Amino acid sequence: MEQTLLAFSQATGIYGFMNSPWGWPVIESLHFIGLSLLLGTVGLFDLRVLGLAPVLPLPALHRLIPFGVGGFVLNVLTGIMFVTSVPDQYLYNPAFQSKLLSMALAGLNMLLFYSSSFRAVMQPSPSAQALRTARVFAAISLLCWAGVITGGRLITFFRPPFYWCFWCG
Amino acid sequence: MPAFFIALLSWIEESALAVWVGESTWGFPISLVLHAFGMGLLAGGNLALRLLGAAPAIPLIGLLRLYPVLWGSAGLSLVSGVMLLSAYPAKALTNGVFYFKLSLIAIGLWLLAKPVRQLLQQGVDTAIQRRYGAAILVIWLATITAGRFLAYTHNVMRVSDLTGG
Repeated sequence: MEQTLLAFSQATGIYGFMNSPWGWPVIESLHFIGLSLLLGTVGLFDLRVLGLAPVLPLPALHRLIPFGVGGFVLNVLTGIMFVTSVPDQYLYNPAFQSKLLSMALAGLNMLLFYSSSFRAVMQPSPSAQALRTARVFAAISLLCWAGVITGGRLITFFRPPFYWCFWCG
Repeated sequence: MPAFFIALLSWIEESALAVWVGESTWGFPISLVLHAFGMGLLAGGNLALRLLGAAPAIPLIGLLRLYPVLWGSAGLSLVSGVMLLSAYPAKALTNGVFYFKLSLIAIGLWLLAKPVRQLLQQGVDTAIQRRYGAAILVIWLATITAGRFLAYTHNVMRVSDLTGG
């Protein structure tokens, strides 16, 4: 796995770029910009569903979601550049593993939200039942993305070989 | 390096806050995580994107309701930023990029507090909206980038690196 990722990074030129003087900080800056876009749009939508600023119509606010998706895509791409350039620092890192798990849960939660209460809650005056359900999705979404950010920020403190994982002893 | 500056850096580095942030298991990581949350919620682009013309159905006056979140995020970033700074004062305060970042933040917060707030209250033509939207977007993008570059542009880590002690 490590070797495959590293070979990909080297073959595509990512490895060379990331090891150039400003490669890593430039890509990190983009990763943080993507994070901000995601939190500022998807996070804001979640906060609104949870009761913040009810004067802002949900359908109007939802128009900002594509920018959050853009931020997420930017972060997947920049994230791939980090991970493939030093795979051993990530694959065995419990902070990174937790981050991926949180991301998977956020994705699952999003799918369930869009396939269930999304339509009802986007109505001009949604029912109390629709709002209650949507609030659960919004709270889980916020928690998951907070977990993703926390996991990401903690990666540097759990680098192998010092910390392979919590449960390795 | 002036003696009083070294004395100031030493005083910060030896303060109780600095010792806790720098030496406890969770002080530094928690500060980093909180700083990231503050950043995302303050510089998340929602206000800038709306002013630039995205999501025009969002009422401008309603965006004033986001100000408590924006100021709360700024406060969180300030507190966590002071925590991070306290642990390595020499690292940041001898780096020009840090002062550049602080200047950007001052401009960004002033824009939010004065002209942008006024614009949201009174509503102005879209050309002016776009100008301010672009301004805060550029300011926050540059702030984030400058912040990230702080980790790569410092010359020293500790006060002892300056005094040779």
